[in-house]
Order: sequence, then C-alpha cells, then structure tokens
Amino acid sequence: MSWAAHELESYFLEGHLKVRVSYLAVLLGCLLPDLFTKLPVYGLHIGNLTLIKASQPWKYHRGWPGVGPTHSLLFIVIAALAILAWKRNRGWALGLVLGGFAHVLTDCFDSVGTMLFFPFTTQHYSIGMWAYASQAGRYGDAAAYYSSFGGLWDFLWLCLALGGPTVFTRRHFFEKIVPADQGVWDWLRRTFGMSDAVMLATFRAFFVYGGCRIFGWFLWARLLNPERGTQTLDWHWGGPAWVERAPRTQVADTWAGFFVATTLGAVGFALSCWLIWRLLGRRLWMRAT
Amino acid sequence: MSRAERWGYTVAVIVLIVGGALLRSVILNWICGPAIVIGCVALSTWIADRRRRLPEGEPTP
Repeated sequence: MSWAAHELESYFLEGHLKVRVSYLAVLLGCLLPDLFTKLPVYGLHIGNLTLIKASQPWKYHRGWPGVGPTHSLLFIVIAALAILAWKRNRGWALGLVLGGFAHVLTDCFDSVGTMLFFPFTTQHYSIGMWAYASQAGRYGDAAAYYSSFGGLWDFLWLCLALGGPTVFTRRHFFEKIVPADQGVWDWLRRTFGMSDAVMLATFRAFFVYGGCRIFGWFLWARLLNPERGTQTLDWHWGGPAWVERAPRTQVADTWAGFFVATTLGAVGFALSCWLIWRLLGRRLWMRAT
Repeated sequence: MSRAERWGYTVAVIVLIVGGALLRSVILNWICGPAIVIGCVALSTWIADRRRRLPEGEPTP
C-alpha cells in the first residue's frame, strides 16, 4: 500500500490531463478503494480493547474473500457508472475512472498487489517493490514502508506532482478547477463563507498534507521510532528484510497459469465494459453534460 | 500568493511535519491533515484582514 502517493496522484493527473474532468472526482477516485475499507486493516482499538480487526489484513484488504474487489478495475468502472447516473456529469465519471485506476495500479507495486481483473480471476498483480506490512500494525507498517522503496515511491510522486507547478496556481484553480465543479465550490463558498485564499487552500490541502506525510512519517521512522535500531533502512527490492512477510496467496504457480488467468481476466473485463456501455453506459453518457 | 497565505502554509507544513513525527496518526490522517492546512490559511488570512481593517493605534477589542 502507498502512504502518500494516493493523495499526490490526483495533482499529477490534474496537471497532465488534456480533457476536462472534475478534480474532486479524480481525488475521490484516488481515495475510493480504501475509503470505507481501511479501518479493520489496522484495527479499531479503544485502550486495550480491540473492537474490529481483520485476522489476515493482507487478505481482507486486497484478497477474496475480503474487500479486495474495491481494488479492481471493474469496481471503479461500476462506481463511475453510478456517479454518471447520479451526477449526470461526464467530467465526474471520467475523473473517478482516472483516479480509481491510478490507485489500483499504483498498489500493484507492493508485495501483495491487487486483483485487477476480479471477478474474472482472483490473480494478484504485484511488482513487489516493497513489502506489504499492514499485518505489523499501523506503526510497524509505517516503519517498514519508510525504511524501504515505499518511501522513495512516495517521494517520486511528490516530485511528479511538483513537476506540473501550474496546477497549484491561482489562475489554474479559478479558470479550470472551479468551472469544472462550479456547484460544489459555490456551495463551499456560500456555506462556510470561504474567501478566495481559503478556497485555493482547500484545493491545495491534500497536496500539502501528502507531502508533509512523507517527511513526518519518515522522521518518526528514522529518528523517533523506539525500534529504529532493528528496523533499519533497507533499500533493496521487496524490502525491508526485517518485516514479517504477508504470504503470497492467489497467485499462479506457473507462467502458463499466470497467462491463462490474465487472458481470462482481461477478456472478461473488456467484455463487461462493452456490455455495460451498450446496455446502460452509452444512454447515461448521452444524457450527461 | 499574499504574505498571509505564505505564513499560513508555512505554519501548516511545520505543524504537519513536526507534529506528525511526534503525534503520528493523530495528525497525519486524511481528515485532520487537510483540515490543518485549510485552518492555518483561513486563520492567517483572517488575522491579516483584521489588521488591515483596524486603523493604526486603535486598541484591539
């Protein structure tokens, strides 16, 4: 999983998109797969009492049975279709698809990966750049992530987001972001009496938070973490070596098995998209503005 | 960007990085984090606006 990349992806996409999409929808898409499912991964604790906690966080979060389907391409397409039916806004549907796909694909870089083509296959797609470590708890996960390539991955997204600096300008905000979501920004201004500066800060907030999150957690992991003596920096592929590994489940044993599952998944996904478009999507798209 | 806004963002960055390193997920979560940024900028621009409106030498009520 990524700790700050999902917040920063939305600004990178916004800065490089040539089509008119809603920034708020891109942000929602970037957060959607984890939005309502993350709590049991680390657990809800009150004092010593654990109210809710997945026994196998990696399976609950990314696998099946579990909430792993939220990290699949078809889930994002269906969510975008629901948004298209509700908002009747193409910019929202497209933004949600782009943001959601960005989240699902970037999560493929850790050691557990995502079920991209669920429900046609439960095959996990993983690059294994750093170790998935939610089973070590929130702080164990943070220490592992910021001791491995995960931290560098976040930093790369920070640089990518900063690579399109015009996206943060007042002009870009008032000429591109606000008109794409005029109703929402007008409502925010009316309801909370927001000035131009506060509206702009609302847009930039996830970027500042995402960037600071990298440095805040990195400082904690490297300077304040009581176990920093053993939880050392480990920049090798799939690291850090000291963290307890999440088992590799729902992956093909052979390359042939992998190709069969992938072909089935990709064909199933493409056919589903085509069917959804023919039966419902096209009508909703034509009705939308 | 006005001076007040710059101050707001600077304070937010310091609070998020230093406070985040010390308090971790209490501050560094997706609700509090962005809210701190918006709050800092809102407060700094409000203070600057208030100072500008008050004539020099007039006591603050």
